[in-house]
Amino acid sequence: MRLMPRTGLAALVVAGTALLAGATPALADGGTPTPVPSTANRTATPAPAEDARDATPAPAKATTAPSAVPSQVGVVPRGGADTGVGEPSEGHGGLIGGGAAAAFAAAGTGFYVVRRRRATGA
Amino acid sequence: MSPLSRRALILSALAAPLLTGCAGDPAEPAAGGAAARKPGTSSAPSGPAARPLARSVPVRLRIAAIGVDTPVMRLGLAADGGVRVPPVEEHDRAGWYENSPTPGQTGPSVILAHVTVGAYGDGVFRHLDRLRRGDRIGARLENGTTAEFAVTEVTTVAKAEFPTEKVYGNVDRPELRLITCGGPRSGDGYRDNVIVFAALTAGER
Repeated sequence: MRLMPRTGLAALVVAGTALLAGATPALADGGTPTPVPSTANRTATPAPAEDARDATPAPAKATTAPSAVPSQVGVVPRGGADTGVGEPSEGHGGLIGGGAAAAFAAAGTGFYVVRRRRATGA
Repeated sequence: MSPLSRRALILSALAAPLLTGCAGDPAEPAAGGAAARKPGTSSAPSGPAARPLARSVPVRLRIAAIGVDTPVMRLGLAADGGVRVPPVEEHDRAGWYENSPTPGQTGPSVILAHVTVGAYGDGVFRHLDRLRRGDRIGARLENGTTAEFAVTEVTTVAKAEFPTEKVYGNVDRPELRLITCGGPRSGDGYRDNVIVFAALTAGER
């Protein structure tokens, strides 16, 4: 009968210790000098570092992956499309034609004047 | 505050976010008129995506909403690296860019046509910018199948800022792009490109 309270007390102590031991690493953030948190810190430190190292190549793979996928469009054209012809294009054609005709007319007039001068001995 | 007015206050507080959500959807184009259509994400058409079709060159294009029913020719690349367009004399036809998938294949199939062609007047895609989300486009293929598409987005962008990746980039379903010119004229041409994005809804014989 006397053993029961003692066993109960021991069980309480064990339970309390277990609780504390379980809670300590969770609360430790590197500032506690006890060996338990420090080892926890040492083991915890490489973990994120490894994660970071693992994470670094992942985006690199992600960025290189699409370039490896063949393009659905064999050759991608440069820029937009010139799918509209305005009316001024005909206007330019008329201007160019008119200019050429005027030049021919001037040359012809000059040739005629020279011939007339030579013919009259001027 | 009376219980009635308190209840009204609670109800109005609950309804406010709902009303804001309806009004604040910029992706939804307004029905009719010149809706503000910014280049944005291509939204999926309503209904399930259709299965991709076998490769077959397009021979005819039909867009009932803007009265287009035209033969389709093949277009390649120009010497400057840009896409060729149908000759001015053949302003009554559209052209399929032969380095893009055929309509109905997985990927962006590209079809171009003129908006205007100088003395020849209106081009086949004169009213392309009038298309609205959900409008139907039919591309008849050489093998007798018709690839049916539904418009998902219509956008007008400056040629200088042409969204190459969005137009020619890979996609995970059969899609179609219709391209013509638009916006104000500058010199002999136009400043902008009108681009219609569409997704396959059906392929039938």
